[in-house]
Amino acid sequence: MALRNSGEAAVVYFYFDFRDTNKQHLRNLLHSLLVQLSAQSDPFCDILSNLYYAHDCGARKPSNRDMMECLKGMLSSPRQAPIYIIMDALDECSNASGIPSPREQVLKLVNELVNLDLPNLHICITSRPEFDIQAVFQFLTPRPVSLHDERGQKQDIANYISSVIHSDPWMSRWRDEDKKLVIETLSELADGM
Amino acid sequence: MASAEVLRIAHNAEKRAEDTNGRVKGVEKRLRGLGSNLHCIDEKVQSLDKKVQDVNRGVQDIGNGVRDVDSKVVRGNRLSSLRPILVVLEYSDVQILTGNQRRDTHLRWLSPPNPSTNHNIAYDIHHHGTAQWFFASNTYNEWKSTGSFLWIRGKRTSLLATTIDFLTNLISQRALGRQSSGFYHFIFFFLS
Repeated sequence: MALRNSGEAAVVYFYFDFRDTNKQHLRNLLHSLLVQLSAQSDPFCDILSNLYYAHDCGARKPSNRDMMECLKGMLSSPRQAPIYIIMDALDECSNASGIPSPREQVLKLVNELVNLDLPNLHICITSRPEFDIQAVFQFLTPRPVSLHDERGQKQDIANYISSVIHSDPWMSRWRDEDKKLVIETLSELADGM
Repeated sequence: MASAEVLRIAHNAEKRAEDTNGRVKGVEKRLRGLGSNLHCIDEKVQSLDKKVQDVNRGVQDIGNGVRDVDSKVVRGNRLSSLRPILVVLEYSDVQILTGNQRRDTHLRWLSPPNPSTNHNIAYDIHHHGTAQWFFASNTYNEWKSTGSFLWIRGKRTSLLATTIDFLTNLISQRALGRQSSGFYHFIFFFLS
């Protein structure tokens, strides 16, 4: 309740998941973001309630467009506290079927949200750089973080492999030079992934 | 027999026949009167019957009324035992109650998938002490304060899970009015 009333930042997130058909479509993303935002702020809850009443008290489901407008309404409301929207693995949202495909629909939403140009809205997305994703995102961000190129990421991978090798009862008995070779080789092959 | 005598007898016979006829008519008339009397009695019995039914209905109504009063008394008794709770709700957190009820309604209406299951999996298989480079980076800090869009190219769910927790905890700590530094020893990495 303190968080809801204090005007503090809101953090909402969504994980696209190729193993779960309920986590691959724009509709799923919008359902989730609206409910999370509504849970974190009373004014957002009011906005979602308006959508609910406009659909005969929940007798009808909202269209994707209705939900996108509702989301924009929340993000653009006079509340000035930061809102963080975080999405993981956009490449796991399918682009195989449908015109537009589920992924194209999500890319369109992201494009629209970023172009609202709201100072309190911060969006972070992780994704493999697939062609269609790259095509949209290259215009939205001046400096993407490439995990392959990050020295910190490479060091994290080396540290992780090292800790596994040193804590495993079997591998920890290897000779030091063997351990070193395995750590170096695996770190190199991981290529930032 | 003298014709005068015959005439007299015939006259008498005629008169008697007329008398008989008149009596029969009288009987007939009385029978008719009796018939209509019986009809009247019948009607009266019927109306009496109706009145008895009305009275019965009235009695039933009174019975129902009594039962209503009874159930109202019972309800009143129950309410009076609930009154302290109702009063407490009234004066404390009606806002929370209605807000939560609305949120439950939204949840049932949209029935969204639950992303926290993925979040918890990513978070549970993290590796302690990594990803600090990301939180120390200008890219992250610029995005957190002023950036509109950050794209992390590559596949690293745990980095994101950590970012979500980092931000959420930062906000919770601020909301509680504590210092935000020194609380974050949960920066992890999972090799996916």
